[in-house]
Formats: sequence, structure tokens, C-alpha cells
Amino acid sequence: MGWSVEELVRWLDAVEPALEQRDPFTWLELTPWAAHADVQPAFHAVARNRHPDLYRVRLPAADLDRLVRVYSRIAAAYAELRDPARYEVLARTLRVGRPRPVNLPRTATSPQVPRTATSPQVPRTATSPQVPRTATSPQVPRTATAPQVARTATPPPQVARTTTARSPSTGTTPPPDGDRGAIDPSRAMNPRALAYYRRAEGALRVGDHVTALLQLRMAVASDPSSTLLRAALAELLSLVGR
Amino acid sequence: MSIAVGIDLGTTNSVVAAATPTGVEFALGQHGERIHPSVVAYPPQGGVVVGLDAKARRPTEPTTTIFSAKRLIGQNIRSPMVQLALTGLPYQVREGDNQQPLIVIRDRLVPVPEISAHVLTHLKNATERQLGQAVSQAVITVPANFTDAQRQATKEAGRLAGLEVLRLLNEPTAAALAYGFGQRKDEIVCVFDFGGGTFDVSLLAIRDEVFEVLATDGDFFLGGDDIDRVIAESLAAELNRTMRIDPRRDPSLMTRLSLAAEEVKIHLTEHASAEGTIDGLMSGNRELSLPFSLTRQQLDGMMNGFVERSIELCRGVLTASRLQASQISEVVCVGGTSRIPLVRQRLAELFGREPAARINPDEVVAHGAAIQAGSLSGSLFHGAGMATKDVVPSIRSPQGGAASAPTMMGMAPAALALPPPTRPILLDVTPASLRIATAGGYTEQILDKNLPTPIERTRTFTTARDHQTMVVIECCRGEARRFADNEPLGQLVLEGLPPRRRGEVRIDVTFRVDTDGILHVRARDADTGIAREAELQVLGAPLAPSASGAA
Repeated sequence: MGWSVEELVRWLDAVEPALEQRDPFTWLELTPWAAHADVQPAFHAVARNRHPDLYRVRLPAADLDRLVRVYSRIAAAYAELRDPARYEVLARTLRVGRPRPVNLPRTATSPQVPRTATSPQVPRTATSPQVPRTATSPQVPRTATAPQVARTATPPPQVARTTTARSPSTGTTPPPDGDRGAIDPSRAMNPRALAYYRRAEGALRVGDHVTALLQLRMAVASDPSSTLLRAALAELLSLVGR
Repeated sequence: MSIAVGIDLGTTNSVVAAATPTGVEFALGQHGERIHPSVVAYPPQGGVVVGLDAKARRPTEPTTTIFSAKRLIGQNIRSPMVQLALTGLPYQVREGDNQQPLIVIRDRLVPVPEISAHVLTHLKNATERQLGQAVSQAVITVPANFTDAQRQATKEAGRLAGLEVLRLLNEPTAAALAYGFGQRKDEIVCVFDFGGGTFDVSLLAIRDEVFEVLATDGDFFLGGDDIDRVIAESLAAELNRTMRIDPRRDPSLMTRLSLAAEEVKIHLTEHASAEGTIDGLMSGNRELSLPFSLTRQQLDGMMNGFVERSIELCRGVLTASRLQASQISEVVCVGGTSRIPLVRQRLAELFGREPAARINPDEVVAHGAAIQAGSLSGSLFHGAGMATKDVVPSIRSPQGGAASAPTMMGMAPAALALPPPTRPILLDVTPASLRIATAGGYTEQILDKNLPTPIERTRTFTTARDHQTMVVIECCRGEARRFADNEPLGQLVLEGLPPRRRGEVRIDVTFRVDTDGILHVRARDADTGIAREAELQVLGAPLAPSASGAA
């Protein structure tokens, strides 16, 4: 039913000075890590409380005019992100140098959402704008089993995550503290295993699953006690469908 | 207290409705009709007659009884399609200022919005009579592919009729709103709006109160009138063959045949064949009767081209929204022409399902407009959705508005503990790409088609010549690269630029499409900040404020 007039005007005051600086993801209250399937629900969520029609009677004409202009930017942002090709370009560009959002549970909805452009079947729960999703990564096969592994209670499989997220900075900058996936690999295994693990990461980045699997097996052999390694191996195995 | 109404201002017929505490109510005419012919007659003795009474005058006063004014409203009279449409009209049309069409009524030239204003006034009066309340605001529906000039002229008509136009709502969107309001749906629907004069198709994602148009397309010169015309022409050929009379040069005779053709067409939607005699054909002072016989199969052959065109446009919107026909969960039919069995059959073939049953194609648009009028004026009630009055069987609504609605009937809304109904949020789109002319006769696209509205986008251009101090920004609409192949919209002049080398002056051009689908263009010198914002000077529309007074 929308916000109160005070809330809305406060929001207008906050966004108006930076109209030109906001990127399309910000307008839709998403991060560049959001999946394409999140775009439509996010736009609907914004429209549900900021569409100018909701304030036609309540808002003074001058403020309504401001709202229409700001909302027009939101619509333009949606128009850009709705186009899968444009989304891909923008997401890749804007992810550079930005930390992936941290401390967010991987919800059951994330990996199973169909990635169709307009995604009519997106579950209503998918409106949470910050849920990080795996990006449509060409070299990672989207096997049906992969998501289940990702949701297991075991420590997050670091290797597979870094590839699916396609972070440009992975491997050099560890993800910020607090992320469930931010366990420092160097502390989760012995140095010998870590060397193999790093090589596996490198192989995955270029899409070489065979080498990655080999290196990861060597890592597990070097440090069989590491739960991180075992989880990573399990995820990789399911990713490549074995 | 005054109320806001929803008006489906159609090419052949118009419908008016209002959201009341007991559901959406349709205003009846003086003969008890829910559907008001969009016909305005200027009888010889003076005054203006509108609606059913005016339609009755069509055979006897063909040159002063104006119908299908919607086909001319906001049109540029020089456009080839308009010229083609004019050939079939029994009344005279002249070119006025700004290339707008003016209708000749004896010694007077009447702007088209004035004709539509008479229809709107008629509907307003009918509502006031029925509900006993003043009507001051309205949501008026327009075809989704209406241009700027057409929208502005329609708004002007509303103003002339003494109505504050809250919104120009696209017809398919209105239909979807009536279909899905208060139903808690989560589906994608196709609205197939085949009316008397125009054809529109829209795909919408409906999720609870959000109605998002995914894509829309249409043909402004495709409708039931065209089918009537081919039937009338075949009847005329028959008359010419059997009696050696060419009715095509006689407006009165041709009008009589057109009206008969419409009846034949309606008869054939229910029956396999139509046979009979058309009486009362006056040729000079001879009265003739023309026997005829037409089967549905023959009619299907005659109109196949029109139906095929509408199906082709449906395929187009599916492609534009990257959807398969199988992903569409319902097909909502709007407009009288959608009743034709051939149309329904071709639709069922395309979508693999029968169109939604029990949706009244004549009333659903006005119903949606009434809901939106209630929402925008802040007087929306529970039970405004379709489920209250017209039970639509295919709707799954275990706990939605439908269930709570019956308890509403007859009760004052204040007495209920229900929270106010959730207002629908309509996310409509631009019907066509909007471009500006660039050097060499080409265009640059600023806004594509099917973008959500209201929307604003800025592009930066530079001067094309050295020491250029003035630019003329010519705007057009269409999908072609070359300017000449698009529909011109109008122009905007930016003067007082600093004289520099070409390419050194940067000009920001901002296109903004508002919630009525009307384009606003703004140009600004990016360096000096000289800004000039002007309503686009649209061709074909009356110059605002209209110089002509309402009758």
C-alpha cells in the first residue's frame, strides 16, 4: 500500500542529489551480484511502494512531480537490466572492485530459479534483493544436483563458489569476514593441500574441470581431515556430474 | 460528492462504469442500453444527438451523422492510412491548422475532439442520472498503440466534456486489470483486443496487485469496421450486378449497406449462414430490396487476411517478451470482433487453449477503467473485481477478494472491518520506439518500444556544422532507421548555442514518457546549461488550448 508521505519524501531527498551516480542495480535496490531472475521481482517490489499512482491523492503536486521523475529513472534502470545481454555486461562491469554481499544465507530459492528472461515462475520469496545468486557462468554446467550440495550444512565449498561467482578478485583478496564462505583456506588445510587447492581454483577459473578435479583430489589426499576440502570436492563432483 | 468514472471510448461503441461500494456499476442509456454507440448526429433543426438515437439517423442523415471519429482523432490528415480511411466515409473531412482533420457539418468545421467530447458528455450525463452524483473525473481508455497526438486529442476531448482526465489507460491493460483485480493471481495473460476500429495485443505478468505489461503491439487500422467494409463491398457488387446500380457513389446507400453488413457479421458469429433481403435501399426515388445469402465459410474467406494479421501481431509480442505461447495461462478477449468464431479458433490454435470464457468483451475495458478511476481518486472498494458480478469459472481464488466480496454486497464500506483494498499498480509500456532525426536523413533511437512508463532517458548529441547556433530536434516514432520511414511527431528548437566548431557543442536530449503515454522532450546545451523544455509541437492535434469552443 505504499509508504507514508514522510517516508517517501525522505527517500526522495536522499536519492535526488545523486540521480546521475546511481547505477541500474542500485535503483532496483539490488547488488550487481543479483541474478537476472531477481530483476523483475525487485522492480515490482520498488513499484509496490513507490509507484507515483499510489501517492496521487496524498502527495503535494510538487513532490509528486519529483517522484515521477525519480520513478522514471527506476523504470529506465529496469528496462536496462531486463535485457539479458545488457544485464550481463552491467553485472560484470559493476562487480569489479565491489565486495560480494556478506553474511547472507543461501536460501533454497536461489539456485533453482529458472533463468528465463522474464521468469514467470519466480517464487514470491525471491524478492529479497540481496540474495546472492550464482551468475550465469558459461563454463560451469548447471547440473540439477549442484544446488543441493551448495545448501548442505558442511562448510561452504570455497572452490566451486569462487568460480560460480566469477569474482575478478577471487584468489587474491579473501572475501570479507563474516561470510559463511569466508573461511580462510590457508587455515582450513595444511600448506601442502593448500598448494593443490590454489591450483584447483586456478583451473576452475579457466573452466578446466578435469585439472581442477585432479588437483582437488590431490589436496584431499594431502589433508584428509579438512572438511572444507571434502565439501569442495563433493560440490565439484556434482558440478561435473559424477 | 463527485465521483470518478472509467470510460471505454470506443470506435463504434462506448461504455461507462463507476466503482461503487456495491461493485462496478455500468451506466445505462435512456433506452436501457449498457453499450452506447459512439455516434454524434447534428440534425437539421439544430442541437446534437448522441448514442443510440444518433445511430438511428445514420441512414437518413449520412453526411451529418458522425461515427468512427476515433479513427480520425489526433491524426495527421496527410497520412496515407487516414486518406484511405476517408474514402469510405459518407461525411466530409477537410484539413485544418496543423494538419488536423476537421469534419464538415453543413457550414461549420468541427474538430474531431469536439465530436468525442459529445460522446463523453453523453456518458457523463448517463452516469450522473443513474447514480445521482456529479461526475468530475474520468479514466479514459485508449488503444495501446495510440500516438502522442491521439492521446493529447483524447485528453482534450475529456477537457471539453468538463472532465478531469485522471489517466489515459491503455485498453488491454484495463481489460487485464478487470480480469485480475483482487484475485491474487500469479500468471501471464494475453489480452487480445479486437475492436471496431483498432486491434491491440498485450502480454501482462500479473502478480498480486502488480500488473506489468511485458509487450504490446497493435494495428491502428484493423478492426470490425474493416470486416463490415468488405461485406458491404460484396453486397454493393451484388447490387451492381443484379440491378445495375453502383452504390459506391451514393453515401446514403453505402451507409445502409454497411449497417446491414454489420448485422450480417453479427448473425454469422452465431449461425453458419445468413440469408435474407435488405429492404429500404433508396436509390434516387426508387426503393429497392437486395436479396443476399452469405455463409460463415464465405465470410471467413473474406476476412482471413485481417485475422491472420492479428495473429501475426500476437506472435510478435511473444517474441518481444521472450515467451512461448505455452507460458500464457489465459487469453482475455476484448472487443466485439473477438467474438467471431474464426478469430477464437485461430487464437486457440496459437495458444493451445480456449480464450477465457464468460468475460464480456464489450464491458471488460470500462470495468478496468472504473477500477483504476476508483484507485486514482482514492475511492476504491472491495469487490470491484470481476468475480463479484460476473463469475469467471477458471479463476482460482480460495482466499482472495472474491471470497470476501459477497459479504460486501449492500453494506456500507465503513461498517466493515476490512482494510482498504490494495490498490492495483499498473506498469505499462511505450507502444513504439521514439527517435530523433540525425544528419543524412537517419534517426537515432532514444526510447525503444515496450519500455516501462513513466520513463526518462537522456542522450547526448553534437552539432553537425561549424558555428551552428541553433538545432531543430525532429522527433518521430517507429522502428525504421530512416527518418522518412517513421511517423513524424513534431519538433523542438534549441537556440542560442555558442558558435563553435562542429561536434564541439554537446546537446543533451531527454525523452520522457509520462503515465498517460505522452512524450515530453527537453533539450539542453550540456556546457552552458541553456535549457529549453517544450511540449512537443505535435502534428494533427488541435493546438492547445483549443481555439474551438465546445457546443
